[in-house]
Amino acid sequence: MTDLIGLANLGVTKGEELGATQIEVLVSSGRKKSIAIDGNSITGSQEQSNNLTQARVYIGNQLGLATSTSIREDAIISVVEKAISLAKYAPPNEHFKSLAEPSIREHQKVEGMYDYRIEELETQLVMDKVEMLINGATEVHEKANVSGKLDVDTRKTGIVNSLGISANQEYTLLFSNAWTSINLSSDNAGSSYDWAMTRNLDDDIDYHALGKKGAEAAKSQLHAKMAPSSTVPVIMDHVTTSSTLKSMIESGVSGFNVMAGTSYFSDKIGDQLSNTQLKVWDDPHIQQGINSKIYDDEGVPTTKLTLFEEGILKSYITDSYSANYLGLESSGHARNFNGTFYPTLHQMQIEGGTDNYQQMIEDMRRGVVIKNRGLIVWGESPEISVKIDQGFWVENGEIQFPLKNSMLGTNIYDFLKNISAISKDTVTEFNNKSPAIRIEDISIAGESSS
Amino acid sequence: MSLVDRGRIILDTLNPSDVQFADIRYYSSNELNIVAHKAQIEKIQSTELEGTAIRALYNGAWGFASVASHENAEVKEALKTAIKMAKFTSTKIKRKAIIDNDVAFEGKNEFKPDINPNDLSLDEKVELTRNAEKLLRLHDDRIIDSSVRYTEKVQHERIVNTNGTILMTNDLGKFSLSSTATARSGDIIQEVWDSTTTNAGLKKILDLNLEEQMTDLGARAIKLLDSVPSPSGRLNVVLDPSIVGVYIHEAFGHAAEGDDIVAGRSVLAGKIGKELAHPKVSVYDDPSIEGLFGSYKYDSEGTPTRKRVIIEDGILEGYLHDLSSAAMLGEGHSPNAAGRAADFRHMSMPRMGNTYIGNGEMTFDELLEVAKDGVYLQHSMGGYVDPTIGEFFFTSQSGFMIENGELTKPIRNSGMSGLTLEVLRNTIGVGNDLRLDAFSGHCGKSNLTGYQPMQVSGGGPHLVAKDIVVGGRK
Repeated sequence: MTDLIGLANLGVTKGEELGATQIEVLVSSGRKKSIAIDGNSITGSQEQSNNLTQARVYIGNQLGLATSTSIREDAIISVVEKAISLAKYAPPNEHFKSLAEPSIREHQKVEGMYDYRIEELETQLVMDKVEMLINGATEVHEKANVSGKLDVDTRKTGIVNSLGISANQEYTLLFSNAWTSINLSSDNAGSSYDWAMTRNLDDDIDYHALGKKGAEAAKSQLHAKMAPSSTVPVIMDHVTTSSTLKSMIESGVSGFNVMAGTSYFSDKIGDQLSNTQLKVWDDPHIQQGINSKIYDDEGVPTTKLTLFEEGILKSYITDSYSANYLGLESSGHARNFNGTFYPTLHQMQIEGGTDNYQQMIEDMRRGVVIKNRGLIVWGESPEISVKIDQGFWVENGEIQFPLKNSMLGTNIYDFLKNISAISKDTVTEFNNKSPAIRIEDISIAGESSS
Repeated sequence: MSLVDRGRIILDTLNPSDVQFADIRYYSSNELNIVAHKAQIEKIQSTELEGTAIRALYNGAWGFASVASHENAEVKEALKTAIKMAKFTSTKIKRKAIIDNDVAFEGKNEFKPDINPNDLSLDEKVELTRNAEKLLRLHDDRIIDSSVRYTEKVQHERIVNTNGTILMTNDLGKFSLSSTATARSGDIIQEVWDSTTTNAGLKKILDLNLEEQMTDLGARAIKLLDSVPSPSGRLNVVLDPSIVGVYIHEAFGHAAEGDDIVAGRSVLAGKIGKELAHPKVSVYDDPSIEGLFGSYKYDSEGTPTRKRVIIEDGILEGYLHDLSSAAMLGEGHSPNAAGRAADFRHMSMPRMGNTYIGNGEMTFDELLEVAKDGVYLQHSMGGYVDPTIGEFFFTSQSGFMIENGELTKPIRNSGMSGLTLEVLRNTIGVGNDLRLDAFSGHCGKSNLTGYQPMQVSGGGPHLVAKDIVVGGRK
């Protein structure tokens, strides 16, 4: 087995010899097997190794960064040399104080992240799983057309820095998605995108159910109409709530955005921004969790963190760069996007409230229900103008028709302030726990009101 | 011995019973990124990729393998893996892929930059990036965040296949200077961005009037602080060329990609020869135009590029094909160099290059008169499409109200949703001010090997469409 920590240490030692004041080396090794589905047929498969070496070097506060797809010793040395040469040319970054330092926090044990049975899965067995997915979809509707894939992923990483950080992690992941459409005519079609993941074969994906779920969601979108243009309440089911609030909160609490001055939650710690029932926290330590992590991408131990309590904003999330700038300790949320580190959430949890999801729909006189798909917040503006995917028009407590070509407009402050109901029932999908919510006074654009 | 010769020798060892088709694509690239953010250089990054991508087609099934090496032994091992995967897959396949084994190309495309990036020192590139960010930041105190990213990349592919295709070298450049500014007044936060892109070398970037460009961008951000939220409902819209570029890319280009047609998941499947748009609308994708961000000489299968006519005078004329989608659709379809791969870790698939709507005859003022009342949307922020049902969405950075045929109040954060076929039919005026690469950037699409960003551009003239859904909060 490759000693990734040993390779990373080799890079750190070389960097220090060449004059690095601080250096961090990441060495990562993985294998991936994939099966593709196109138009209800398995069409291809692949197997490849994915390796990465990345060196982040500071000479004083001048940064050089180099990356390679090789983890051979000579390649690691070459990457470090390249990073050193870039750092020598870089102007000083006055905002940089230090790479991540060994934390006073103890790291938490997270079980079930690596399953050797996944690493050793036979290709034939993987294909059988994919066939189950196709069958699940086509059993729902004869015109169901499913495309997608199944990935079998194994990855090991070692990260070492010159301040004493030394962390290794390993993961296995089975990921499957299904993009299903049912097309009855050019103006009567439905589609759905669904996916499932697991880290452990004891909790394997139900592939047949995944295919079926996608086809049923696509079928539910047939005979869609445009929403009447109006200002109405919107109910989001559990999955939509989780995804939408994560998108909003992650950007708002990002220490990097706070540092840049672009966060819509800047200077709002301690402010009442939402319903007093809203309680949100981040939990990176769920056993077998899809986004569970012992350490963040800088090797800092992760921790549970409360984000909202009784609707009041409680904290920001940070990596070492933004934490140092803001005078905080890193919260262990660094994520490495090809060498650029930003703080991101691990697994967001939302506490249930006191209402009932089904009752919310039954009590709705006129409005919209959105299922299974989150709203995407584009850019840094708190303004929201997005298309509704998998929405339904409700009148007098009953779903009337699915929506097509309809949009939703609000802004994040109004959205949070206008959460008027939180269900006590919660759903946990991909380790993100969430209730359903109702938001008042959302502007819906669709068919002209007449 | 050249890589291509080594690859050909490896493929020559295959028996016809081993595969219907196989190819070897040697890949390498060097990329430099410099990021200036809030008066600091936050990143100078070098990224080097080197590896080999191998495909095998056996009894209608694809197998793919890649390896981070050009060494013969490792390439041979990867070829064995690709064949093994194809054979496994063939036992389960219901719809068999085919390739026309008579299609082969030979060629060579060496990168000849207008200004070679190696002729500039790293210091000069850092200074260029830093100066652009400074000009943007100092435009106005209300610009609270500013960043500029400089990117240069040159990639090399060498391709051989069992049909006899030999591409001695297939080089591609990527150069861009992208700027983002965020203006803030209390809880009103407005972000704008712009980029200058080319594949030809550094000339276009060095020729920029940075002061003028950053001043314009900064002014756009500041102006949005006094804008009003976008109206909401079914409105007449005038789209600027960058929005037209995203619109035709998202709403139509993706639906014309051959793999979606073959899989029966596009609203354009089976509609060749049908009138789908207003007769004044023509849609092209042309990677052979020199110097644009989405331009290239050969695709990642070795097929030489040409202009692809998708819609001519409102009639659907053709699709974007790689070797396989063209063969599978048969008569009337031929590979037209759409088979692109992001790097050696990825299998190619049909992609766009430079997609645009052809020029019309109307002036901008005439388009406003036709719209009469509605909104003018400017500067794309991004978008997505579901080609299976032909529904798309994109969002603009800024715009104006149109009242009685004239631009009035500035508006912010306006998105637009529509049905591909309906919007093409609802186009009621096409401008005469074609801008080929009004939008440029990276388009995302996934296949067997995962998500692949691809450099593309899109454009067109201004155009006006009626009864389009615009989402705002008024």
